[in-house]
Amino acid sequence: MSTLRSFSVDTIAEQAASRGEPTWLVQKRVEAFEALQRLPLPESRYTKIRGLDLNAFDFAGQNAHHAHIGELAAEREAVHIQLDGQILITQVPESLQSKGIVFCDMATAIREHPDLVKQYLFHAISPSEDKMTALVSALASSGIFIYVPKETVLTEPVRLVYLLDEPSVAALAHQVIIIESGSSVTVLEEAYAKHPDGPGPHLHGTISEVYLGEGARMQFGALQNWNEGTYSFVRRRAHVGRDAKIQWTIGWLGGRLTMSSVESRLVGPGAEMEDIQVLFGRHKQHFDLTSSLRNMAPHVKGEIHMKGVLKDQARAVMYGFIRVDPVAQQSNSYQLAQGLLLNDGAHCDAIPGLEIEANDVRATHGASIGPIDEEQIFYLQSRGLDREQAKRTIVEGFLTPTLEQIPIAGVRERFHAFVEQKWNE
Amino acid sequence: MASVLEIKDLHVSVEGKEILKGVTLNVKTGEIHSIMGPNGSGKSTLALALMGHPKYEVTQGEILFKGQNIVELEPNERARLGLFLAFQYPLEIQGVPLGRFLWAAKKALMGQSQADGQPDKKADAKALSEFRKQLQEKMKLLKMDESFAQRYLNVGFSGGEKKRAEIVQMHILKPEIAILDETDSGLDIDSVKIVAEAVNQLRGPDFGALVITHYQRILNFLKPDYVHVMIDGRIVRSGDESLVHELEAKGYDWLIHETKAKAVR
Repeated sequence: MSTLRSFSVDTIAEQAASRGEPTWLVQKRVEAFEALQRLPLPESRYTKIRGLDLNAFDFAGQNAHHAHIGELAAEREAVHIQLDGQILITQVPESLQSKGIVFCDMATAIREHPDLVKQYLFHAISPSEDKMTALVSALASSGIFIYVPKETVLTEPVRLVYLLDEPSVAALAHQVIIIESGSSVTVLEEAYAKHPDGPGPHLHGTISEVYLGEGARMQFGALQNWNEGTYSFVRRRAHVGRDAKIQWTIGWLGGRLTMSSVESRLVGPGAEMEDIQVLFGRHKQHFDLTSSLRNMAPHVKGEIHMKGVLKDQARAVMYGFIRVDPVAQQSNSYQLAQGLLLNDGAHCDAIPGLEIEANDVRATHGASIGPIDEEQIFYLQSRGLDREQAKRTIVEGFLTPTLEQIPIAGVRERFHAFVEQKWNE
Repeated sequence: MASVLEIKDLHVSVEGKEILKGVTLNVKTGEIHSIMGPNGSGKSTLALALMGHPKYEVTQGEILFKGQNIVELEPNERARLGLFLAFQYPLEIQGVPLGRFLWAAKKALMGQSQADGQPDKKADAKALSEFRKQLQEKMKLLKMDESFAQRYLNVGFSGGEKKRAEIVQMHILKPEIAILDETDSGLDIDSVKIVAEAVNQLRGPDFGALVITHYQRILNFLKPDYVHVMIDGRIVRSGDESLVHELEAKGYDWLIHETKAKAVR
């Protein structure tokens, strides 16, 4: 077991160097590790982090390649699978390689594509932004690096699979995704507990840097269904170039504490983003979800939809931030947060933030949070559905219009199936 | 044998305030009853209490349906016995298409839930295709476009469309006794006619209705067997169709005065 206490600035630097990392990257690791020591846990008024002892986790798996080959990979797909932080497989079909697509783990990328790595790694995200980002930045070496050259359209989704199994394990991942101009990709991330009722705690951290060139398209779909003993911290940031479009669709189901930040920086004129996030929480789960939209060029457009259903004592806070820079004239932004509470103990807050420095823009937001409507339950019951069926019908109906907007059928269907399963347990 | 809804000395309170103060009324299959009365007399309270709205508390009296006291039953259990309420203000339910919902309701009423072991897939598919056909017919009967079946339940429907959709639901779910709570209000005369014709079509030995209304116009088409007047939580007068015309001519005031005079005595 190698706990956080066993690391020091010196061992971090030594290990990075021994992995063959260039000096600039070793410095980033050191900078991150120092920030990790210095920064507080990312708590807020709405989110207190209880019971998390970073020293109780084993960080040993961050470098190793796992012995087993993943049985989860289909033969002809681009897929990267990690179990407890260790890489099971990173596979890319020859047909994609011949197009110049790079799909490899970070260590390989550092070795084989040093210039690309230097250009993009830690460019969108700084290693010292907050404590958990620093943790991932300092210790995650087993990330994934995806590069799609110009004018390349991938018809099949690229899959990233993260599994957690052994208790007390920490799994950290750094993702860098570069889509050059005119290209189009769907990335599907699945984060599951190998045993849904297995013992915790687990610690999971991901940082994800995404770069879209001119006219590029990316659909990023993610489903998270950790077990309810997992602390999960995710930070994603995309730089979206001229006339490019990013669509995030994320379904949140698992975890004890999930903190996520998705930020879309629309840096090129005409850039677009859409972020659809849905969550279903139960028991004592806590979700702290942020979607930020930053309009940094004229004629950009962004939409944020966040929807949560909360049961038992589950809690959620949904932040939607829109910032419009002075140059971002004629931009259009919209955000909506909706929460449905199934019983008295459940709780949800929606915190909108608008910061507008341009004068010719549209920016609107809406939020509605409330308990399930007894009048609706009565109406449905009067037609023959029992109370439980009536509630389910209302919840499904609450989620349906949002789920229907999810462009990736697999995410839509699996989210649905998970909700069904959680409801029945 | 006719099924009977027997309302015996029914007292109902809402948030501690007594609204119904002893209502007695029998509605049998094969009969159409109408309840008229001024605003606030307790007509809708009666409708909601009969269906089992949780806010409406029965403090005294009984509601028997087919000989069984239903006061403690959940609304869905009442529906399963054959009771139906066409709502005065039908609720809007996002994300739930009308057709799919009605199919679920019909299955629930027939006692088929997904939990019931192995469903017979072939029979299920056949029932579903029959249901779709039936739904199309009923929507046609109520002069609603087929596309409403795919639309979310009452969401974005006009007032008249909501009321007609209630009658479509009634036709599909085939209750023995239906309560129509001001289904005619807010409808133009053509729609009133369409709704009345659809109710008349169900008329027969296996169907009875309690039609609550402000206006005589729907009754002109329905020709109720019995007419009751409710004032201040009580039925103060019952009669046949001629009572409708008397009310039309004289209004409610004379009955209100009469009721007050009785109360003083």
